[in-house]
Amino acid sequence: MSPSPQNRAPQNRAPRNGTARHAALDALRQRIAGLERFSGAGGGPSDLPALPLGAAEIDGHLPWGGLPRAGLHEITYAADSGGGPAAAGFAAALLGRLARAENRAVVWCRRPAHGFRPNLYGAGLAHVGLDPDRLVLAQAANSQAVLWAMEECLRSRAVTAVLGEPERADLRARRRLQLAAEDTGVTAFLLLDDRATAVPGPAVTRWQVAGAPGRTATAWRVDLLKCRGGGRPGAWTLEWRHDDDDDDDRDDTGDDRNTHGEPAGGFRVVSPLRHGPAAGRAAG
Amino acid sequence: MWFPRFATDRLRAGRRDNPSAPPLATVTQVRGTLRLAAVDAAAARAGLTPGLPLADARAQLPALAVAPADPSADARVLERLAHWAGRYTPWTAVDGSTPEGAGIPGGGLWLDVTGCAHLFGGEAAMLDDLCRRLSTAGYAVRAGLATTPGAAWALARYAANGAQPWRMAAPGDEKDALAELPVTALRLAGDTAEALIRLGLRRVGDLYPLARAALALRFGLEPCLRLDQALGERDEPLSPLTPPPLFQVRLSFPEPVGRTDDIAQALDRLLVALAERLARAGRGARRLDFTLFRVDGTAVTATVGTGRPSRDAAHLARLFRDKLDKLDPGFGIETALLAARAVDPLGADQGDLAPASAPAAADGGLDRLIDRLANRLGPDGVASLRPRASHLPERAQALTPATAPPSRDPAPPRPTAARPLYLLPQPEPLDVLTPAPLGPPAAFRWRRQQHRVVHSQGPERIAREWWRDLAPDAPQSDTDARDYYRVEDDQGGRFWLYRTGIRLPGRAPRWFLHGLFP
Repeated sequence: MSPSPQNRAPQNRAPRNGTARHAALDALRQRIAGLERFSGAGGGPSDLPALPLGAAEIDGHLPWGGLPRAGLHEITYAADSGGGPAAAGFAAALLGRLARAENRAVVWCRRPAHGFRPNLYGAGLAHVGLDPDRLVLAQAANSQAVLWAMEECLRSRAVTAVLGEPERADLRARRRLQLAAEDTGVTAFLLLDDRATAVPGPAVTRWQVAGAPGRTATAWRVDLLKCRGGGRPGAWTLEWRHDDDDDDDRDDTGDDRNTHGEPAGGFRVVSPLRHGPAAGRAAG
Repeated sequence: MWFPRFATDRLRAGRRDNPSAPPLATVTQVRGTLRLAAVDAAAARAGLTPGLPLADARAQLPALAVAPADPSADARVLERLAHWAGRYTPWTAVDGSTPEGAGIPGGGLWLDVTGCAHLFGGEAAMLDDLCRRLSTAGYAVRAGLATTPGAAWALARYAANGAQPWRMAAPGDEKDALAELPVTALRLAGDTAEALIRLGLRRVGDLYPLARAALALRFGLEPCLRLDQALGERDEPLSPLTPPPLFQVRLSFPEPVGRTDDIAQALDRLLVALAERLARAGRGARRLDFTLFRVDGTAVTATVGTGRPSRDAAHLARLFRDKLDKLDPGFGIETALLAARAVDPLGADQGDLAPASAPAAADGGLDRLIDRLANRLGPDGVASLRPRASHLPERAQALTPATAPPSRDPAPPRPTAARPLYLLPQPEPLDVLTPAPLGPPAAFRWRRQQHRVVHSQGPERIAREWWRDLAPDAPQSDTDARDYYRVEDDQGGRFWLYRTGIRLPGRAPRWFLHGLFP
């Protein structure tokens, strides 16, 4: 049912083994990437328009210098450890960066708040840099309608990014989203728990996000599980530096302001863990 | 338009009974006795009349089939027929002016066909068509056409008959047309008509030479009023079922269609025609009704709305796309009608100069996207998060439809302290362990899971606005201030808890979980 750990294992071990094997793997990756769109068939991978996360460690790790705009990105969280809000916050921060970069709206497709399902709260979104005025909330009754709304947004080109929280999304649905995103250049995000994404999908990147304990600021442990175009997995601990926060070293984070001229904040890597997700989890 | 046997026809309609079906009557209980309320043609031929006790009727006609009278169902079907009659004119209404006690059965409809008849080949052809369609559907129908509602009412009920189911009075001829009809044709209450007949005033024409003052003195104002209304000397305003739309286009099919493709093509043609008319008037549609009139005298409607006025046929067609599948064509559609129920001014700026493949303009594209989403997800399904001026977190945000215009109020100040990403629909009560009575929590249990707090920030005291406390019915628990803590558990989860009940002496404070931080 869940072949991904086995599939991932050789990749995870690769950096720690000999350089010959590493080079062979790199060559293979490049051949595979040549078959994929996300190698940038005409030129280098960096030719695709990408959204830098603003954290040099991650941007340098990704083959495109950031997240490719025309693609589907999956943001997952462990279902049983309550990682949902952390993953949603990370996704909201990415949406906020996209909305600010293009000065256009983003859409969040989810099921309406009911019972155990909470409401999105604008002041909290603003804290991670997503201006609520730039957000359109599409509330759909079921997963199918969420996916429909996402595709409608992707095809319309009227927004810069769309995030969907379906309860499940099968391979075909994710393939449709990926193709729509490739066609129109609108960035697609899926926010799912990890049971829903046990099978490999067509997404350009897949991340697993959890709250990072022991930090006073908003912080995430971010694992890059999968990356097309020859990118290797990676793991980082990211902190959100809001410009309102009392802090001495607000060096490279105060660059972004939202539409009201208020400080928006940015990511900062606090302890890069370069040994793949498994090792990262053990160390964290 | 009059349906003399509406109650029984309604029961028969759609059932396609064989002609040898038994006579039918509806019964109702009057002072403990079951009496006939309405009879069909066969029962009437056998001499049955409404009001006859059921026992007597059974004795006269043992084969009589009976059904309970259901006036509310009658009214519903009559209203549906009024909608259906919208294929002739946008102005239709159910007739509510039949006087009490006049013994006139059945139901009636008003149709204002001013300026509509030429679409159907003239008034006579239209009346022919109307009567033929309704009798095919199983309804006995009589129609009258005149320049005043009163005269049309009289003609339908007293001039038309089985051989000639409709009568028409040319403009100005009402006086002659009505002269030979009985006075009951003036929509008089039963006792007024009886009093007139007792005095030998049997025909409407008998009233013409009488002085109005004498008539009013003797019989009250009613005969004068009805006479004036019938002859057009006094206006009789009637309210249509739905306000007639300002812009509508229609398409009649030479023969009934049923395939969704055909209907979609018809819709496209109608949208283009409507868009042209809207463009000439400098308007854009906010709400559109697409109504399909089926061959069996029923109609189905799909409605779409737009956030901003639009007359872009392609955009509007897309809004209708999902809804067309849900419109059941039944046995076939004979007429399609597209009406703009709400329009707003729209300048001439919406021309599609750019090719369709070009990226849509940022703002207009978003409006259209919101329209498409809202028509599938419902108007409340597409929302934006708007801040509101309130201290309480759950009141400080409103989910407003994204199509709503932005508020003119100045934006309330942003809270200075951190706010959660998610707010629970209801604060959820918690079991909390606090080392100090008024200190921060050390551990709490939420949704059957134990969380050990490793870090906490707070308290931030939030009380509702003081003027709300002045309301006499303010619940005590609600008036109490809340102390909010932002806590982090050992798994990295961050929560927004609050404690309330601090001001109430003798009771332990209670804890709630209100939000989740990333």
